[in-house]
Amino acid sequence: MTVDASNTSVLGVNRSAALDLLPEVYAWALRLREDGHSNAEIARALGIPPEAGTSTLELAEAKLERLMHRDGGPPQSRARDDSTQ
Amino acid sequence: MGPWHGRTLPARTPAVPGVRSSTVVGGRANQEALVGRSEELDFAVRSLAEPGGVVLMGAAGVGKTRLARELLPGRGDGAHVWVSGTASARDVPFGAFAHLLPALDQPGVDRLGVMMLARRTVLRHGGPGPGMLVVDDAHLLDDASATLAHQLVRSRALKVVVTVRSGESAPDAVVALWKDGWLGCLDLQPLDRVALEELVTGLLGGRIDPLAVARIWDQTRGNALFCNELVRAAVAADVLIREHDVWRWRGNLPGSGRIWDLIDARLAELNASEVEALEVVAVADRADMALVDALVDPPARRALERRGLLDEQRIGKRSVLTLRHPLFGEAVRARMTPSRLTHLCGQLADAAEERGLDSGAELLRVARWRLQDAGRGEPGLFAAAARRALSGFDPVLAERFAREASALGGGFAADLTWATSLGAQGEVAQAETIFERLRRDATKDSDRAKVAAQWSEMVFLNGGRAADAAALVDQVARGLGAGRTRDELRLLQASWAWLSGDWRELDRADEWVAVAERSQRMAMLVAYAIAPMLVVAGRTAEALRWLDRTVAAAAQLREALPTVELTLRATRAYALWSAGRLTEHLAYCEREWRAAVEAGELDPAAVFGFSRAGSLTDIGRVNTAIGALREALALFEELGTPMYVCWSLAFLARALALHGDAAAARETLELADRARPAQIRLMEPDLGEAAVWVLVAEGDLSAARELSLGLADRNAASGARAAAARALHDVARLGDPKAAAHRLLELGRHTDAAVIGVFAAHAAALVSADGPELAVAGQRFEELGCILWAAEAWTSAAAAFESGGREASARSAHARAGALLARCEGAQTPALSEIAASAALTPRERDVALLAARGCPNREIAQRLVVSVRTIESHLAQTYRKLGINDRAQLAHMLGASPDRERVSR
Repeated sequence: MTVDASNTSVLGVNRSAALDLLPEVYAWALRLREDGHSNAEIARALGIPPEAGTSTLELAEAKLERLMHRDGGPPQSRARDDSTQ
Repeated sequence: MGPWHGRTLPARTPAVPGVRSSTVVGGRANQEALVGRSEELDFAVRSLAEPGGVVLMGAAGVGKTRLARELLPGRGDGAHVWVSGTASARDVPFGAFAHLLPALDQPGVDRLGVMMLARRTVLRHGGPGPGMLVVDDAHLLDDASATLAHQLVRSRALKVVVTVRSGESAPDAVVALWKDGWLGCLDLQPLDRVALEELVTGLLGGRIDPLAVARIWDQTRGNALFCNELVRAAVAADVLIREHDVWRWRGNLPGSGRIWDLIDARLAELNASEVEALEVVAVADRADMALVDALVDPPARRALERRGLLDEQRIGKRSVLTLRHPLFGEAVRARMTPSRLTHLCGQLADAAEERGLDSGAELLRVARWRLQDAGRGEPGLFAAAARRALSGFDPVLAERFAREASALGGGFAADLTWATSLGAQGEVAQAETIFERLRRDATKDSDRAKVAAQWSEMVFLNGGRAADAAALVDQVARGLGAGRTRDELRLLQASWAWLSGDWRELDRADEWVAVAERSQRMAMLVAYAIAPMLVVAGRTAEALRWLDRTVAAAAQLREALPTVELTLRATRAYALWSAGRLTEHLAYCEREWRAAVEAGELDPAAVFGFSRAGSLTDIGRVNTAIGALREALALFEELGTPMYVCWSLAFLARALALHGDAAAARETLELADRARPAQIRLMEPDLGEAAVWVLVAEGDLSAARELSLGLADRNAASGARAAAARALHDVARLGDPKAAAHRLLELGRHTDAAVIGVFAAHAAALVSADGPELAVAGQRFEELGCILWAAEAWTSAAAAFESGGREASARSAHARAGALLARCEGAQTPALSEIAASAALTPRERDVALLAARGCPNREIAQRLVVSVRTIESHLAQTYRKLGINDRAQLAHMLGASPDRERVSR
């Protein structure tokens, strides 16, 4: 089983799966930051007060770390396209 | 229901770490521990360390007030001031602070005077500086109170925590608190999935079935208030019930209660067009946005989004409108008039059918709408929806559709699906009435064959009567001419016959190879029949080649043959486990299990939950295995599948035995024995293996070895070589490697399962006490993921090195064993308990080590042994050095005497 070490925790939990477990605002905040947007832009896009942008990103990162390093890994998220069912 | 029904399994559930629980059972929950907010708490505490404080904003029910309480100095025992904005006091100047102010009956006191008096009062009440002020629901403050709060923040004389509901207008003075940077700003989001599970586990005071967690998550989306109320209501209504030490969700909530009152209060804030818009979204159930938008008033939709009640989401390639709190959907639907509901369902169904149904999910939605829109559905639609629901392992929904299809004249296909869905719910008698009628009335061979196939599957799965299932199929097959239909029935018959104990069917397996070439469907059915036989025979690599060739294709035939598709996946897991490829097995099962839980599919959730427990036990993670098996057992009981219930009990007995809980293991083994279906033999070897380890847990090694040798003989004689190898390996592990070694070598020549070769090497190395060879065996076990066996092999290697005077190698082997043991959860085997002896600990060192491993502090050990604490520390240091470990946790694992085990075993 190959593992992308840059994208996994010590326990090998997938970052993408952990992102799917976060509340939407946090997941989107991190994705938008990865895309290079500023805190203010992220806050505007997510409909949160601009003053909460920094704290939102900080919390998102901290929660992602916790989920990735949790023993047993996260449950799979509902990331299914039900149009293919 | 089996003999276990109504009985509770021995309550040995491992404690859930890290959760201080208060039970919601029997009454209102106490102030439960704050869950899932450690990051928010950290941020808020840091904000409070600065002059100023923090604003906690968020949707209703997200937990702002709860978090504010957590920030109080000394958890509320210290001095602080708490004021709350309320709708009723909104027009009363200083209304929020009124309870702090003295009576103001002097004439001439103006507003400024009152402001200054209030300010002094708050500062005095806030405690020695800087005290704390909490302003809860600040969006509801009157202007005067808002101005006062603003001033107090600016004065920096108090630490201030403010809570504000998102989406509500607030006084300017309150908004300025975060806009002008006076306070840090935290926008609370709902709990994440993991935190929600932690919250629910804490509320219930025990383990909860993952399917129930998925359901609660689906309905609350992490809103802590709704989660609390939902769990409370479900327990009170016996919808959340405890079975085999696992909380499970059974049924639907009643229509009244506090949770609905809460939701009604929110809904009362909406105007008529907003309610109508909510109704459309609630009934549409994630239909395409284009469909829904046509029926929803745009301003109403925007208003609902602002209020945080609606979300636009992407699901794959589709955009959908969803309810932020799905519980609102239930409430809204329940309160709609029947005529409104019927009309709306008709509109949605008409619109969807005009666009064309492009997915199975869409088919199910439209069928549900048409059910409500009585009299306007086609039998073909309902029949197709019934088959789709069955393929999604939802027999209850399938039955509703099939019944409707039948009533509308859907004919044979509808009735067959109806009977199958009844059987899948365990309604065997009702199903057999329909099957019997269909068999009698069938005019075509293909129809008779279909009836025989579905009926026999029900007889096997729900009745546990494999021989009867084979006879049923044989009766029909004999009347058919040569061809695909007869071949398919003969394959089924072979499968049932084999499961009932006629393991000679494997000898006929080669006949089917040619048949498999005819079509993908036939290849799948051949794999379905012979792959399990190959696995049992120890030809796991061959089985996996069949399965890997057909499992992917089986997904396409899932709707036609749902049980076959699931069985192929389950057999793949079985093959990996039997081959000892435990890392792969666990990863595969975890993935399948989690997907099934998320999709709410009971059958695959049960099967893969059970299957993963097999690896968890062999890896040594017995605590986790025990929990997983209890969950699976409860599911199999609900599904009414005797074979799997017996099998789960057997695995559970073994896991409990490995955990050291002899009494619970024995009791569970007796339950397994009573649950044994008379006509199915597949789980016999595992029942035998469980009995061996129960004897080990009871301390009777000699009887355990004898039983295991007898099992090996019987298994080998019947062709179950994989199980024979496991039994022989157990004999070696239990102290008689000579009796096992050469037989394992011989077995290895007739099997292709990777682990059997390692069993043989391990046993041979034990016979000759060959340190290097034992180390190699340990390494090979570890590569496969067989952590417990690896730990045993390294332990034996350490002893062998020690005997040979190779101290450095012995220490290294001890360290390796200790590191592996640390990954287990206190599994206890005779081979592992030799660690202390083999490390050449002195008697005093062993005494100290055992006490330390059980959790005694050094001071207490010193008192007991009448020596100094320094002496104890010295003994422990020597022990750690000899064993190659670093701390008490590793010591506890090595000696199998952890404090956790002591507490669980009582």
